[in-house]
Amino acid sequence: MSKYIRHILIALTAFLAIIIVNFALPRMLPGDPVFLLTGFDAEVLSRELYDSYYTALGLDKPLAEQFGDYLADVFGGGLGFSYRHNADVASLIADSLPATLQIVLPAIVISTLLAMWTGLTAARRPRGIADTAMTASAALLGAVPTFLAGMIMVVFFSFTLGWLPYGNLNSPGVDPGTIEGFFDRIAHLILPIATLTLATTPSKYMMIRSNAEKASEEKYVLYARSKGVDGNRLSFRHIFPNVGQPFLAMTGLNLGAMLGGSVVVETIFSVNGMGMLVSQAVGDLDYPTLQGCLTVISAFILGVTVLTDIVLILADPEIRRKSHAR
Amino acid sequence: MSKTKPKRISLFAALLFAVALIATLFAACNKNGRAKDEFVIGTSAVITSADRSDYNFDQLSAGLTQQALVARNTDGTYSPLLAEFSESEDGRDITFTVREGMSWDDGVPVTAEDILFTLNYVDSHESGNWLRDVTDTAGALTPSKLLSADVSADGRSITFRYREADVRALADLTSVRVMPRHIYEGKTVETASAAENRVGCGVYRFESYSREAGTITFLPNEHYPAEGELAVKRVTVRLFSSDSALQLAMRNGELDTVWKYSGGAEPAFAEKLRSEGKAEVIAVATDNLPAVLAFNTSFSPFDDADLRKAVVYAIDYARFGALFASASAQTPHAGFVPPTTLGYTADTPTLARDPDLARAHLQAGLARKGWSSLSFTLSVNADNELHVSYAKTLKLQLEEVGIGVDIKAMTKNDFQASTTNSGGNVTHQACIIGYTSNGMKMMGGLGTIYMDGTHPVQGVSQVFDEDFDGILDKLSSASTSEEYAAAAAECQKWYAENFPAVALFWDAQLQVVSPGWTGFVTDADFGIVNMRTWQTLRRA
Amino acid sequence: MALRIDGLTVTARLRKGTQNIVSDLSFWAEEGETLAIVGESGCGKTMTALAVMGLLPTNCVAFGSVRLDGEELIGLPERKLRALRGRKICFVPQSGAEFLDPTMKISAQLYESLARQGVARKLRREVAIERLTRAGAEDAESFLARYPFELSGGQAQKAVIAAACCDSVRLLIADEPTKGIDREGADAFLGNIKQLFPHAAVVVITHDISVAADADRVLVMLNGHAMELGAASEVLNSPRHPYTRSLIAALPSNGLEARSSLREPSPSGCPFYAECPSAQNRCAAFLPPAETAEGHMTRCFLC
Repeated sequence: MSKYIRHILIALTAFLAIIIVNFALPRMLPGDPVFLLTGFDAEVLSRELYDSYYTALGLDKPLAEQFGDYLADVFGGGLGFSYRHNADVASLIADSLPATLQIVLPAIVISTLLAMWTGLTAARRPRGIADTAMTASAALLGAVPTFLAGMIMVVFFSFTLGWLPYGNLNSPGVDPGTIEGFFDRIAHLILPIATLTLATTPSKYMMIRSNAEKASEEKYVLYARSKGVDGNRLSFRHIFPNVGQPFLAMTGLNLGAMLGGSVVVETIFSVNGMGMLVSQAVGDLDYPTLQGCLTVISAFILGVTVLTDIVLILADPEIRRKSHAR
Repeated sequence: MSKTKPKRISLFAALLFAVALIATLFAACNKNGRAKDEFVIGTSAVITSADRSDYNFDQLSAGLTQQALVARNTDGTYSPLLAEFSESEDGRDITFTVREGMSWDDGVPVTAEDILFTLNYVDSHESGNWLRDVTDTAGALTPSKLLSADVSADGRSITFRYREADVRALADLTSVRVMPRHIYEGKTVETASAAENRVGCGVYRFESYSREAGTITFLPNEHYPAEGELAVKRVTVRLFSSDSALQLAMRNGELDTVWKYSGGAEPAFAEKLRSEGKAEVIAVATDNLPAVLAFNTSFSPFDDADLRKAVVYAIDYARFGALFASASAQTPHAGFVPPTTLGYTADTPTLARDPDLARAHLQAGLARKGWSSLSFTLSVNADNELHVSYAKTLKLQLEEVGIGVDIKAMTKNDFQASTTNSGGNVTHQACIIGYTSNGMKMMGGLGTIYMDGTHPVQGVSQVFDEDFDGILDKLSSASTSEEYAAAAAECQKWYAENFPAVALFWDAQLQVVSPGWTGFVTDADFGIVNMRTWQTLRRA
Repeated sequence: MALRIDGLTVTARLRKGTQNIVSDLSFWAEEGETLAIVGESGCGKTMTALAVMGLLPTNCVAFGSVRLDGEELIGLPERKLRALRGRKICFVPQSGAEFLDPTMKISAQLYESLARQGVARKLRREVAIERLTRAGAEDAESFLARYPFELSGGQAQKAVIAAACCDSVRLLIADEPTKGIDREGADAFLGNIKQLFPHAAVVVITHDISVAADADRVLVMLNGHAMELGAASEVLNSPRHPYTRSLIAALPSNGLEARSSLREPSPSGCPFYAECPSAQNRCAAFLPPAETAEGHMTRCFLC
């Protein structure tokens, strides 16, 4: 138990630090905090508008009170207000998040399973035909930038063949709630998920493959083989649980980072997800949105990291048993 | 024995997956066909909430659901849009009368009170100065444009009284879209609901916005007094996040036109569409300048006129036009402003490359400065790929006459900071920049805000010259079009002699439209998506 | 004969070149009898075992003949070899704790073997408990629920024995099965072998001569060569080969007599040449041939 607590405490401390930095930054950066926090600049604001924003943002209140208001916003309110979008940042995130998750979660699951299966299979006969082919493809794919992979997919499947749509999540006029809408949605998700999967699988594949290859010299592998266990059962039931830890850690990190969305994929396929939200906010210098997104994304990453740590701890039977014994 | 069970499961899973895949592909191929009376507009503008509070939607709706008082034609004249207009003898009064039948799409008729309300709204919420003086954050005072705006007794007309006869009064009004008083009384665009923010008096009205499908649809406004039946019964705007996908969709015939705020299609793309028979290209002459080389005339080395001229005559304008502009491009004149500008005179010489003349000016300038060679820093906005290409091309051309160029590509903010007064101190030596149509028209017009060093916001060329100040006064005080034309001619002559900036090429905006439609009307400010187009559009 | 090996040679491809790990090894083991392979570490005992099972590392190749019940194993396709492992050929590794999969419960690992041996799912628990008890485990039920790191060395050993003892075993290879186990446990194991593997030829690899004493026959190896092969009582009580004699002399009960290096070793000659008290010149020049008399084989010019 104490192990878990340590991880959780560290994560909480990190989150607290992020919250404080988030609050302090616009007040410490060069430039006027009103301009930063509203995203408007000198040419657009008249004296009176400037003053009204100044009060609305609470910049005339004492610092401690400002911090209190800020905390209330973060933990209960709308995570701040974006003047660019004229909406609560929380509602912006709520609008953008589902789109991102629909692409990112399946992509992570598929790429993890794909990497696991191909990596373990390739490691069974190192430098054999399967291994050489798969590793060469992985190396090649890993070198292809995401936007290129995405564009090639669009040009080939949408433009040349006309099988799949250019982007967005549904076709015009299709109601997402119906069965037709459901399949329409899947049709729209195929290319973005495929692109993201292609982008993230090669590195996972390399890792699991090299770990599995090293493991094949271990004693438990020899013993299992002497019992006649081989092939898939050997790879998945014996080797993977023994080498899977760094792989799980990597997947956990991936998942955490994914909440930011893949800007490239979202841009190519015109999906209004978190990635687009953040990148537009950067371009517009929409600080409140950036702040809100940062808070949510960090909380998520920290949460996933803690979860991954706990899962890894639990996955090790030694630790599980010892804690029970105590 | 235990192997067959997993085999069966994986077989089942594979079958299920195959079925799902086929069903999905079937659904995808079964895309909804387009109705014959549907018009599809594609855009890569970022629109997040389809209502007036969203800047890009606001611009888009200027051609669909909102109307300004007047519209500008490509020949420079003005046509009534929401209202008819007439000027008084001395030119200081303009009376606008709301046209018969104009109505908001919720049924409430449009009146002159709406016009007055709009002026007051812009003043209080958008730092406007129609009816009141404005002090900006630096303390400078701008007096109100109008002395008064009186609504007539029957509520259908309103008379604007200007401080002095303003030749460009109508030009300013083409972008002021009238707001419904009955909706916004006591509210602002930010506090009103999305539905309220979509009410308009244009030919079409807002129907739906789907974030997942990325579409905004419009239906005809039943209350609009259209002349005859509209050929387009539904307008669908499709939102794309990437220009590449947008272009592919256009090439596939899925879109009828591409919309971009104050911009047209790239010449190469337009040409490709035209040659493939996928689109017709309409060239719209505009008064914006997308490719300008501006000198900082208060800083060395370009405080010296000969050195400026050395650069000017070293540029291969024909090559710039061939590389970057469309077939309708023109070689710019030394007078800087393009032909569609109000007050344009063709009297200034056409710019052309003359290496010998360039070298002669270079020697003269170097001698005066006491240098052996000229090398300068060329600032450019790194985010604008086209501008970076202009800079690189320019560098090659200047090096041929022995002028060294160091290209400094900066972020948008840094670039703005070093090239405009609003950003801070203007520290660039020379920069590649684009001037918008609005900017060219502001204050006295002719792009003077970009030249005048005292302008609080722009002042890219940092001109602090008595003669030029005199010209500025004449431009702003001109009360008749003849006076204005004379002042404008003087201004262009001054540009031609002093070269605070040069245009690298003059080009028209290219609008691409599907060959399936005919009857497009071009609005000088808003392109082909405008109220008049909808009324004359027919299937080809 | 259950197991017959003729001229087995295992070549390894190392960085410095190729090397014979096992050279021209020949021996046999009958069904029901126990053969102990004795030798110092590095003499090729384990490699021989791996060669028989077809589990040599990728840089090694086996030549010669290895026949199990008449079926030639060298060159047999992997698919067929695999069918034999865990069923007809079983392996008991050196220290079970190190060889068991650390992330799997004992029950899972045992059931895995049982599944391969054709035991029905419902019966597996019962059979597992029965086998563990037969192998000497006291509380077989609690065994099953544990992980390898929760077992002592002796318990782990019992687990791997239990995995190996099935009715279809024809060849059991036990690599140092008594290492890390106390005297009592070792005795128990060896005594139990005939009971546990009634139909199999049992090959026990050991460096402990006292273990060899419990076997039926003994093979003495040095540097990959077979030096002496015969009945256990003869080989251990009246060893003929000088090497065997030196091994026995080195036992604690015999005074721990050490060997000393008497001369430069000769690569082409007898592997014992450098330390043999009775070596002659021809011992350095030629490898002595294997000569068998009355079922007893020695590879020595002097016997």
